[in-house]
Amino acid sequence: VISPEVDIYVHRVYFFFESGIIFYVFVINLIYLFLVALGVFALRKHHLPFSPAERDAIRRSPLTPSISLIVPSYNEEVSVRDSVGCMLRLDYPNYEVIVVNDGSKDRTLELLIDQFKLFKSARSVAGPIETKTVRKVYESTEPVRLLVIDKANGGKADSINAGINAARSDLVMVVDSDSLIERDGLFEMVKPFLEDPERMIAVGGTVRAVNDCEVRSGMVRRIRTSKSLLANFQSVEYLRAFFGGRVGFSLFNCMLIISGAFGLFRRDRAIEVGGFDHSSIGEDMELVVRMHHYFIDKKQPYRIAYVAAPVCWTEVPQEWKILHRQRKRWQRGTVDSLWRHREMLLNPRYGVVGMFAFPYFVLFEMFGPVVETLGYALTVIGLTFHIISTSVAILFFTVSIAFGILLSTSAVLLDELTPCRFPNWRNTLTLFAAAVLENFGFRQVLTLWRAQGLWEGIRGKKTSWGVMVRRGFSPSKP
Amino acid sequence: MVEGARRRIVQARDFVKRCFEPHRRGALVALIKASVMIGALSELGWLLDTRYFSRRYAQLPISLAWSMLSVIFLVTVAEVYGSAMLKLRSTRRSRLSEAASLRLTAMVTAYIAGEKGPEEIELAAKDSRKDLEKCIATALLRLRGSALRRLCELPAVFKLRDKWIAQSRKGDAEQRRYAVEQMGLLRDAATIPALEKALLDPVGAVEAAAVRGLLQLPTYQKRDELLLSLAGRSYLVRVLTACESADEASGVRERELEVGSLLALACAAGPVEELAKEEAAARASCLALAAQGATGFDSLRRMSAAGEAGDAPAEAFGASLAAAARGGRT
Repeated sequence: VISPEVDIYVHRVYFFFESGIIFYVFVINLIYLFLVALGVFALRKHHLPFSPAERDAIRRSPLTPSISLIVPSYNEEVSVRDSVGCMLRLDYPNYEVIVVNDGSKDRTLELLIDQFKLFKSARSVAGPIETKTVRKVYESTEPVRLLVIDKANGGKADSINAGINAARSDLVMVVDSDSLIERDGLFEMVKPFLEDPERMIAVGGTVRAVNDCEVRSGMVRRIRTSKSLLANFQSVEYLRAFFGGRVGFSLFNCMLIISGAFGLFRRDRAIEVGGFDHSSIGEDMELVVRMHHYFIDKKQPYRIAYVAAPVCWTEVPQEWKILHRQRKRWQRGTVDSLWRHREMLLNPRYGVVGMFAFPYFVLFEMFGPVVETLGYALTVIGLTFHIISTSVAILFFTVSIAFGILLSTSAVLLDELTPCRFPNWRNTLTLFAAAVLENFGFRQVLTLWRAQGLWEGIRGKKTSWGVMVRRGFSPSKP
Repeated sequence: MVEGARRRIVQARDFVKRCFEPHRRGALVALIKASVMIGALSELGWLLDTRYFSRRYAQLPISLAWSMLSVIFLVTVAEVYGSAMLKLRSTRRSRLSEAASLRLTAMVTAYIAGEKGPEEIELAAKDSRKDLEKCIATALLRLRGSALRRLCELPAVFKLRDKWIAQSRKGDAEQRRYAVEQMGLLRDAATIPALEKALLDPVGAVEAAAVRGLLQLPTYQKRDELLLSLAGRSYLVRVLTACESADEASGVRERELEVGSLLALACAAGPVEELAKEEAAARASCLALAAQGATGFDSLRRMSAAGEAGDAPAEAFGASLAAAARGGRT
């Protein structure tokens, strides 16, 4: 039996916590909404795509920067041939593809040798970044130079570093081996480097879900939504993350993530900061944060940008188990990257990065899932034991779920402003439905997983290559 | 103290200058618009709460929730409706436009072949001026020689020329670039003043389109001046015009243009660390390559890669050239 005084005290403390959480969730969603609004205005006006005449000029220009596509792969026998085939057919005048086989246990290397008629090469792949031993190098020159590096297993970051060492181009692009790049994607990716060659050091593109899209000859021929609801939820999530968050952060040169599946870096600058850190869990985010840290410390002007137009299509997990593992890994990566560069947090020396982007990531991306999970738990418990009134619970659900719906549907609308939108209005309506439905269960589950990831990250759990069940890009029925 | 104040003033001036760089200006405009939009939505929610829901529901959380839900519902419905309408309209428009374009393309082809007169095209394009413009723009990009001359005699092209001249001075960057590109393809001396004006456009793509357009004009008098000014233009402009400039500048002229400006930059300065270490060797290699007959950036790069650059490592030398090309303005 609780005395009335204690009961009142419990109610007050509970109400205080609940209000705090409601305020927190409201602020986080308001910031998201602001980023989405920035995306609306920036997506159309900020980026001027190349005209056909300009593309033609770039194709013929001797000054066009060269690009090395680095494709780290580990046990990718299902999709590696299709994705490398797709990369060899890109529309860009001056590029090479470097596949780094990170000691795969399956037939990845054999399939590549057979498919692309590779021969042993004497090309030196030694470079300034230390990597695991390179066993052999294979090469093919038709139609675009393809280099396959077979090395001892060392993880994704180590493989990318081996690729950076072997590359001889001005720019290096890191692409996942289960991804397909739009045929003309490199033009738009390279544009920021042409516009600001001195300062631009890295550019990220858009990653979208390819599940159930029609793929032929390694190219996405028809864009459509997936039959799997889980894949559609992730489609909406990707749209929200890219068109909302990254556009906004990129505008103020404080983007902390360039997706490991599709990022273009200036090779000399990537080497200058020491390449990808193989001890890091989220090597893509860590490199970008390190670049900010390094170049601000050195007082060297730099820019890191995001362009929405070039799209890289990737398979998203359709199994809950794999998605669970992926999200926990991503969250651990975020924790790890932020912890390594904690010196930047609220440090005015680091400008917008230190005073806005970094605190945002720590407060909302890192601890957000914990607070939100706590909010759901407190609300349910409070309602069950009549500690909070129904009105407070309604306010919490409005702020978290209804706001979430608004954010997701806005992201789908943002998709309409990009050239790579869904061509069919039925697909758009499916996405809108997914944008509403994902807020009833899916988002909460993700929040819980991310909270788990945070806990594992704090405990310092290590990671290796992510495991993903590949379906491959075999032609699907139209 | 005076020195300190002067330094602060310079810093403040640099800061203001940086704030108004094109990409930052765009960011600032987007920021203001987004703030206005969020502000308007918040104001709407606040008005709903104070004027309506707070009178209906005594509890603050409930009235707040209702007002938020109302705004969210309105915006979401508007988004879904707007998105579906946009899609339906663009599908319909592209279907109609496709049919009209096909019809007009056939007519323009017949006109170029001399089978149809300009009046028939004018009549056919009466209700689809935009499609005719699209059709002419496509033809301008593909036609050469007498076919192009015949097309340029079409009265509709004269009207379009005047429209493009006007459009090159106003409108957003995309419209200006389009207008300047089209004027360049016309190869008409009447567009020279507008193209020369576009050379001063703050957007690199418009500037490049103007350079390309002027270099394609056989009657343009200040060709040499324009070619020599390329070394001082932005990297984007140089990339986009490298082919035209290489086509135009041949032999000795190209040698003066490329070797004279780029070589000096390649030898003297570059942000790459190796370059500083190898500067003397790179300088010697550059001069050696020039003596061996390097006539342009591409040949320099090619010759250095082929090991004709003397003792300087090909990689460092290539990097120095790339750095020089990027930093041409400095």
